[in-house]
Parts: sequence; C-alpha cells; structure tokens
Amino acid sequence: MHIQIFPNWFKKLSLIVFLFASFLAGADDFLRGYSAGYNGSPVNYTESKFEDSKVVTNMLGGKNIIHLLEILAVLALISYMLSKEKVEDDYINILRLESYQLSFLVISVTALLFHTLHQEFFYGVYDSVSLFVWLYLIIFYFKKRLA
Amino acid sequence: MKNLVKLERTRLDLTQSQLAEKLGVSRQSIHAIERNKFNPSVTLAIKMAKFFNVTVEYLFDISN
Repeated sequence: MHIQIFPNWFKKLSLIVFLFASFLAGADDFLRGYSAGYNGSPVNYTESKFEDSKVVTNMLGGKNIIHLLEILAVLALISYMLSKEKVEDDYINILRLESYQLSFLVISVTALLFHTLHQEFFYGVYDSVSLFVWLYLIIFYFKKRLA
Repeated sequence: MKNLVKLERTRLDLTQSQLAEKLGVSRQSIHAIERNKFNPSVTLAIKMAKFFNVTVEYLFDISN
C-alpha cells in the first residue's frame, strides 16, 4: 500500500506550517501558564484574572481562528506523515506499516485502559488524531534510525 | 535466508550508504538485508548480483 502522496520537500513545508500554527494556537495558553508560574499560583483557566491574557486570540480575531490554527497544525502533521522519504523502497514501506500498526495498538490499548479506570474518559477526535500522528512519527523515526 | 552481501560489499570497500546509493535503495534496506532481517525483492536481488558480478544463487543461499 502506497499512500505517500506528497513529494519529499513537503516535509519541510509541513514542518514550517506546523510550527507556525502551533505557536500561534498555543501562545495565549503559554502566556497564561507562564505568568501563573511566575506569580507562584496554580494555573486555573476558569479564573477571570487570566481572561485578559488573550493577546494573540484578540489579535487574530477570536477563538474560531485559534481553533482553525489547531486543526491546521494537525493537518500539517498529517501531510508530513504522507510525504515521501528521500529514498522509497520495500523496506521503508515495511517500517512504515509496522509504525502504523504499533501506533494504532498503543492508542487503542491506552484508550481502553483509561476508559476502564475512568468510565467518563474518552479520547476526543483532536486528541486521538494528534496522538496517533505523533506516535507514528516518533516510532517511524526511531525504526529508521535503529535499522 | 543467508547472504554474502556484506562480504561482497567489503570486498569492494563500500559503505552501506554508498552501496544503497548505487542500487537506488535506502541504507536501511542494505543493513536489514545484511542482518537477514529482510529478504529483498527479486528485482533488487538481481540488481545486487549484477552489481557484484556474481550469480543470485551465490549471493543468496536458500538451502537453510
């Protein structure tokens, strides 16, 4: 099965888009956590005193843009995943397939385990997709390096 | 399947990366073939035999 549809240079482009989107999407949360840490108080996002630290959100025009940026970050990771290696061959395809299998297995087992321990716990769509992509990329990277 | 890829490669004084580049495959493939972790396709086996100027039967031993 060959689902690597993007050329190798797409990896760099995807990485730039991912870093850019993640930075903007997470900037306000980072600022809130940073200032709370600096004050020595625990981070509580429901407290109104943190409401004013929405510099980036206000600058970009609202929560919807931040939500779109989060989706863009995951899409960038998926396109990184679907980009070809410099050299594509049978063995790389086997490593890729093994990485997919292992990622799926780890996500399924941990999701079931958490759900067993806490009945109300479920991975959301965003969590499961981003977790799967991250796991796949890490496993595939180490499989290639160790091979 | 045992093979003599490593022996032939060192005979030509090539690194895994150099051999991979000459055969148009990844370095990982050469490493896996040398360690008997991966059996190459017929095309790659013939390419290797031609490159080393030996027969496929000599390069890859299927008796075990």
